[in-house]
Amino acid sequence: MTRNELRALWIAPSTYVAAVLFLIIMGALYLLALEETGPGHAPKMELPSTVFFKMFWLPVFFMVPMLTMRSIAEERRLGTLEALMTTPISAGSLVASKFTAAYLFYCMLWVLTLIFPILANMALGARGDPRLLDWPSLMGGLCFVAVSGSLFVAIGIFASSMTRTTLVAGMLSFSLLFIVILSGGLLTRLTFGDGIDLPFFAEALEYLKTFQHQEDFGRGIIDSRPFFFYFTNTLLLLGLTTLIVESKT
Amino acid sequence: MARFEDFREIRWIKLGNRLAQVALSLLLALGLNYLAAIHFTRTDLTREHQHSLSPETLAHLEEIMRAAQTEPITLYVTLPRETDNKEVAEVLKDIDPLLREFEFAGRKDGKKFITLENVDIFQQRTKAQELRERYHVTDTLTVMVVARGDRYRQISVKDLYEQKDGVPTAFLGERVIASALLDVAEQQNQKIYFLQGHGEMKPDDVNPMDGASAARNALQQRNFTVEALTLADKVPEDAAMLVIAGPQATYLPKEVEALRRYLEDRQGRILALIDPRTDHGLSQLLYEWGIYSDDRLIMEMIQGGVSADNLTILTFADHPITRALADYQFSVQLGPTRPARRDEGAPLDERLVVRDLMLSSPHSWAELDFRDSSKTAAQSFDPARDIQGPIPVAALAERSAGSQIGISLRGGRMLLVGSSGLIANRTFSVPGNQWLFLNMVNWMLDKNSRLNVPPKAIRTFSLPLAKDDLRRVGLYFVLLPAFVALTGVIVFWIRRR
Repeated sequence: MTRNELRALWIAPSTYVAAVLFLIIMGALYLLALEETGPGHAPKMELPSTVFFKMFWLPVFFMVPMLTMRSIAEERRLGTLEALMTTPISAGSLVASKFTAAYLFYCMLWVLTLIFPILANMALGARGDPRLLDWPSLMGGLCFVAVSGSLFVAIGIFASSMTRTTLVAGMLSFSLLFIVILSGGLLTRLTFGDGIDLPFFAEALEYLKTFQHQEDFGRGIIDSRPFFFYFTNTLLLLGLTTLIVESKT
Repeated sequence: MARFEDFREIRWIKLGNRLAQVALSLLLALGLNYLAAIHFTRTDLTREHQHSLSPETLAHLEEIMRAAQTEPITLYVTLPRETDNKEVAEVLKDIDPLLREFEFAGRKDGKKFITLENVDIFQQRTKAQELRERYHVTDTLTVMVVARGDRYRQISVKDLYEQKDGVPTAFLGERVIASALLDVAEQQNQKIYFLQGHGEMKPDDVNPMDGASAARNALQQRNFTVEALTLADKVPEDAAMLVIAGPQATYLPKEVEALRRYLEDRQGRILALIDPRTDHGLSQLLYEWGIYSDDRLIMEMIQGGVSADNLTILTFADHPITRALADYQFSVQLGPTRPARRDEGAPLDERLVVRDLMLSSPHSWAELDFRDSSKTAAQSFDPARDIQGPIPVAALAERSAGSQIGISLRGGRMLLVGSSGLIANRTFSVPGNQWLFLNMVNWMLDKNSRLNVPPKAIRTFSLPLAKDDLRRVGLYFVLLPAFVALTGVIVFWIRRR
């Protein structure tokens, strides 16, 4: 089933369009990060790769909905979902295979971006800096993208199972991603009335701060909390999606 | 059984079943995440554990947690998060990860001994007011307050960085925060005695001219106990430091001997502020500690004449006590001042290190004939008798107690400032004076350096890029999407055929 999904992705023209767009945008972002370290700017404390991975949310917002919005909604719209469910394939394995294919593709795109620092180093030659290829920060950033990506893709699949319309699914997944990625940081900036302390609430928000997770990973610190947060919620969402798929057929 | 053959019934049962499944899985996820938030681990994968706290800091924190069973320590970060100020953003970037490490290390058995609290002083007015009243936060350079009950310590930007020519070169965060934590976790205050009996300044005197109540308040706010002391045969056992502030009369040999014993046998600390025109009787003791302070008055050329009553100091040595003043270009205001410098003629002693801390301006000189009643002699520079500036006005002597197996043990410390104006109420409101005095006290008592945590070098990244370079990198970057697009076209072409 997963192989089938991957094959479908491999031959679909939309996959290549998405990949090319993604790589162009990521290349531009990396170039921007490089330009910021050039003359005319104050010396930076962060490496270009660190800055680059800090921008993870930008491609997530458009890539994940594009990748996942069709997955289940399209099957429902065309009525192929019912046909699929009459075969011995269970709803769980259907959801799992949709998820795995999208997730692998998402990770593959990010792995491709590792070529940018290598290309930059090649292009600059002697004027480059060995720290452009600082593996701990590159691997840390990639590790975060892989761990958090599981949740983001699961959100996309979940949104896609909620509706028959791919556009609505895309919008829904965009909104959910927006909430998950930004709400933790934004809510802690709100002060709930002067002098009102909500320690438990603050702690819960602290737990959800995606950017803080990214920062820790980017510095090579592995904390068990984000791992747990992303994996349990991925499983939860996939479980819920399975329930929805079961109920709709 | 007949009921379940009705489709409508079964639909409701199924719906209920699903809702229960959803609710249960939500609860399960919530519960698991709650547990994970309490019991967690952090591992630093970098080769040199460059983001972890040093073993020494961790050992001290362990001790704090063992002792501070009851009251947790709160770290209030007072820097505004919403800011366009680049410097503030850089400081936050440095301290935030560090504070997270401290918070993590300050947990034990699910209990938090160190809590972090961000206070936006512009938004949270009540909280800001509370900080001002309780912890006297008024300095705009204050970055955080470390507090436990009534004990607290402020940390300023200048404490956090080592600078060179106005550019930060190293981050001292871990050392400074760990010292502050140790400081507020201590059960007892260190005692500083102001010696009395020779017309010295009194710590409880509010007189604007020669009272030292402002300096006493500043010390009390920093968890020191300040008391006056009339010297008998012996310096009390609980003395962490003695301050000799502007003596007018001579110290008796017996008293000098008590000071000598305190410095040498008990690795004592003495901060002496001695004005010109006094016969203090401490010259021999100063000589033994490699400091020379001849009875001259420093005169300074100012616009329209010569002044001796208000000396402005702008030149500081590169030493932990004075470095921040030089970096932030602060000035120190002194009253009538005498030279205080390294004694070149002192007997050789390899255990003793003496250095000058600050200098008067190049337009000053040390006048020998200042007692001369004729105005011209006192107010003009005589190359034969006077000394041309800049002249050292504070000197510091440190003696190691001995060296064993290559480790030098700390000994006594003696610091002489050539004017009591440094801590007089009238000048203590000058920021430079406060900084200098408190830095002196902190250094004398090893407040910031008692941890051997190495500073973190600040490494910056910049590339000497030209426009052509960027263009070339951009061209290389196009290769990747082009390759992917080409693969797509080939796949598409194969499928069509």
